Amino acid sequence: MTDSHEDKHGNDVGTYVTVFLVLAFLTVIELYVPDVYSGPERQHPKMLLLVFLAVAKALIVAYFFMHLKWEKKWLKWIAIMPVYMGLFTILLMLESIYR
Amino acid sequence: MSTAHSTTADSAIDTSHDHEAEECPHFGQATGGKIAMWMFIAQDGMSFGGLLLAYGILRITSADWPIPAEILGIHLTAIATFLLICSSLSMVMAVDGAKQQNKAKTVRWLLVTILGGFSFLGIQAYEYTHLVGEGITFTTSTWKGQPINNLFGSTFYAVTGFHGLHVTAGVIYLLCIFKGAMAGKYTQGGISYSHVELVGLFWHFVDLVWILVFTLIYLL
Repeated sequence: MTDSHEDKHGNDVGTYVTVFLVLAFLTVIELYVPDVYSGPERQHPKMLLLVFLAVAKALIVAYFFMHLKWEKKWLKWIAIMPVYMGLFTILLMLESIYR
Repeated sequence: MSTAHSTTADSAIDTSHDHEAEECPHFGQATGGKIAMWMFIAQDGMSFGGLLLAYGILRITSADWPIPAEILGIHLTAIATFLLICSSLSMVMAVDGAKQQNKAKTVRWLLVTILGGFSFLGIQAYEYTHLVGEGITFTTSTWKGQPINNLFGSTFYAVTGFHGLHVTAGVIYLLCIFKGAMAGKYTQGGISYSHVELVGLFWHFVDLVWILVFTLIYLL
């Protein structure tokens, strides 16, 4: 049994509970962000912060709950496929902004 | 030739049943089922990506888009979000139980996960009923008697409905695995736990997508 791979006898329950608490904490922060950053002049920081929090939470779920942390490189490449779409979107947005 | 082929096939089968077998250099000890599930998840992720991209474009290019928080109930949805996160924890505990060959633990946490899924669907059904009553439908949107951008309702139901279908599929999948877990199918050692792991992957993906949907549709 290699340490780099998922343990047949299960991962640390403490890790899962910690991840859950972090996700719950970030969700609570998310709920307060629209109140703190209200008003049209604060739309951009609000948007950036909320998207950052959501992406962070999504990555935490994939990395720990979906066990990507313990998987080999090739499975990680498969998992990251939809991210290319996000990068392509950003490319299109940059093109339209700096045209 | 055929003998050599069948020998290769036999060794592949043997490998899949022997957890301590030699690792694949690319995928380690990941089973074919796990690789297939990840490929499905990646493709499904792109389906959601397409929907969210369309939503983003429609919203940015509309001058009269309403503020979602004023129409959609954020607090109720926050509870639904919390329920999904809780069910992700219970799901991972169920997988842990199956790996430990602990039938009682697996069954108990699977049940908690299923209840979380049903609760989420219940909240979504309540939300839909309430919104339709207020005038937000798939094709037309009115709020407090005033017509608003119809695309608000269309995109809302398209994205959250597609996700809701995934939750429904996930709950049905979980119920099937729950039945097998009750019979002790997944706690027999070796890689018998992998079925619970696969439903777990799907369930966490559904949670992951909701994290993004909650932010993009409700909070922004």
